[in-house]
This record gives sequence, C-alpha cells and structure tokens, in this order.
Amino acid sequence: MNDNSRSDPDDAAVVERLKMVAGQLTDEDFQRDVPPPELWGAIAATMDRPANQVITLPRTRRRVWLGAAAAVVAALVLTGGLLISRRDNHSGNVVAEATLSNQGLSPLGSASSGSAEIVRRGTSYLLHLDVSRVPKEPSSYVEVWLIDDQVKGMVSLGPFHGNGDYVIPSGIDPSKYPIVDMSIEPSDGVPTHSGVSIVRGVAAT
Amino acid sequence: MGAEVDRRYSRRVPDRTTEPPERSELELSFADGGDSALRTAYDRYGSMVYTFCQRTVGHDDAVELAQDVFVSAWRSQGSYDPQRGGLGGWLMAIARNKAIDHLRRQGRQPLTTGGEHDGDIESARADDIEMIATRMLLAEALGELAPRARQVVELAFLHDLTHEQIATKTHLPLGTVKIDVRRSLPLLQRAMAGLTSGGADE
Repeated sequence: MNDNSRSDPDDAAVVERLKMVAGQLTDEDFQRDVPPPELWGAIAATMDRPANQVITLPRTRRRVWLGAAAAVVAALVLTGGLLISRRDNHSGNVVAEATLSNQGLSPLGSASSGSAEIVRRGTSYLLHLDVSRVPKEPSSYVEVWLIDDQVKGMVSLGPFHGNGDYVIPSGIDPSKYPIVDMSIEPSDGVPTHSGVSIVRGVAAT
Repeated sequence: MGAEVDRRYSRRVPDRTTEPPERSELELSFADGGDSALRTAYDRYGSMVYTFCQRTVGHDDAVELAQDVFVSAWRSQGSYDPQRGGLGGWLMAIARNKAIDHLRRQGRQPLTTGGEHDGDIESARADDIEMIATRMLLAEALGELAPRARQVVELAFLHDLTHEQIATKTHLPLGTVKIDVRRSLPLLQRAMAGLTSGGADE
C-alpha cells in the first residue's frame, strides 16, 4: 500500500507485516471445521467440571436411510476382498478408485463432482479426495463417509477440510466399505448421517 | 491463492458489522478466571483451534490436541494478559507449541494438507506451523471487521492499492478510507500479537 497518511514507523512495520501475511493467505485459512461434540466433553471432564453439553459420538455411526440412490449404487458394487495395489500416488499405493458424482442426490451439490482413491500406506489406509465445488454454508458442514455394500454400516472420516487425504481408522477394511459419500450435515450435534448427500461413488479395484 | 480472497470461504469466518464488545469482556473474564469464560472462549475460538490442529497434526490426533490446548489454557489462564494481545492469538500460541511438541513426540515431521486444488500432503517445519497459525489469525481478524472496513483493508493489504485508488474503486470518501485503515490496523495487529509475542503455555 502506498500509504500517504502513514508517518508512524511502528505503523509502517505493522503494515509491512500485514501485507506479508495477507499475501500468503489461502482459501484454507478461512475455512473452519466444527469440532466434534466430544471435544468439549473431554475438556470439561479433564477439568472435573460438569459436561452438560457432551454428546458422545460412536466410533462407527449408526445406519441411516440414504434413499433409493444408495441402493442403486450398492447394486453396482462388487465386493473387493483383499485390495491389490494398482499404482502409486503421492501418499502410497492406490488400491481402488471412485468417480464421485451428484447424480440422483441433493440439489445442494448439483455442481459438485470429483474422484476418490483408496490409498494404502504401510499397514494403514487413506481416502484421497479431489472434489470440486463443494457447497459451503455457514450453518452446516460437509462430512466424508465410507459406507458398506449393503448400505447398513458406515464410517465417518470426519468433516471435509479440503481436498487431500483422510485417514481411514485402523481396523476398518476399506474393501468392505466401498461407497464413498459426502453429506451436508447441520451443525446440530446429531452424529448420524443427515441423508443429504452431495456426491457419491463406488470405489472399484 | 495470493491476492484473491474467495468470498465463499470468507463467509466461513463471520462478518460483524461492529467490533463486538463481548470480545473484550470475554478476554477480561478469562483473565479474571470467570466461571464460564473457558466455555465462552471455546465457543468463540474452538473451531479455529480445532481446524488448526487438524491442519498441523492430522485428523486422528486433532481432538486430543485441541483438548490439550484448552485444558492448558484454563490451567495457565493467569498468564494471559489482554494488554499483550487477543485471546485468540494466545490460544493459538499454545496450540502452535503443542502441535510442534506433539509431532516431535511422534517422531515425524509436521504434516499439513495443501490447498484445495492440489491436495498434496507436504512436510512442514515448525516455521510452517507458525505461519499457518498467523494466517488463520489474520483470516479470523478480517472476519471481525465491519464489511466496509474489511473491503478497504483487503484492497489495501491484499491488492496493494493506495488510499486514493481504494476511494475511487469503492466510491468512498478518501477520509473514510483513511479512517477505516487507521482503525483496522490495531485490531489486526492485536489479533496476531498473542502469537508473535510468544504466547503463554503451562
């Protein structure tokens, strides 16, 4: 900034620092993920204070009805069994891939699409997401899920925090959860899938 | 991203039409050890701290680290001095220190995800963690400015326009532009001061 009102050298230093930091701002710096409800409960419990607002999330969330679209997707699934490496990406061996689309899903994600890869790194697995035009609304967030081929069990991989890698919890065999799903979740503390999906696809080996 | 701030993401940090008076009340209450201050601080800054933890140590360890940050903040609340900077910066200083310690204990380099379009996981050193915290604090502070002041500040600092150019572009009086910049500077500086002054830990 060519600051013609600037005369204080302290201000000049502040301006230079702000410009330096501002010049490096990324979209991600403005994003905020909603903490899971158990976080405050854990803080309150550690402090030996009443944790009135604690909602304990199950590690694997309860099934919710995902609608006819999920059944159609599930019908296309070929169960994977042992996942064999297909190729390498930046994070490890790609063992399955999925094209994610909004077809038949919520109009909230009508412009959303992308791809997903199941990546094996050592003895653990990651989900690598590359999704464009993910809706962002102030009173909700987007959550990433793996769903089994019967659409009965699902595993949350947490809030969507941008394209990249999402850790699949240890003990979860991704070949048994081949449906990759992203949903709009209201910030209401309810731990189940809202049923409002924006993209979905089936990871094929 | 460089000089452009995507408004879709900007909305994630709430715009405020006036400087919220509750903020200084929160900071004073926190420093005084008010009973509800930690919960209020968590409501105000929990998302920022949790997101920072996710970005620096990863999803699996973010909850544990964020818990550690707030418990430490409560135990060391007496060391928070509102005169030295904002509570958000002070909390982020604790988070920064704990993220670095956590990753050292894990025996691995800090990890962070890349931008939305590249998605790469890249190693980041301690100074990268510091920079993430600084940028998130600035983003938070921009969200606290009144919309007009925010626009002026972004044009001044992100787009490097002169006061005159900003006045022409926004159709605001030159004096208004100068006042907005002048009043915003200390707010933005204060937001990051807790971090740059080293913060406080246990």
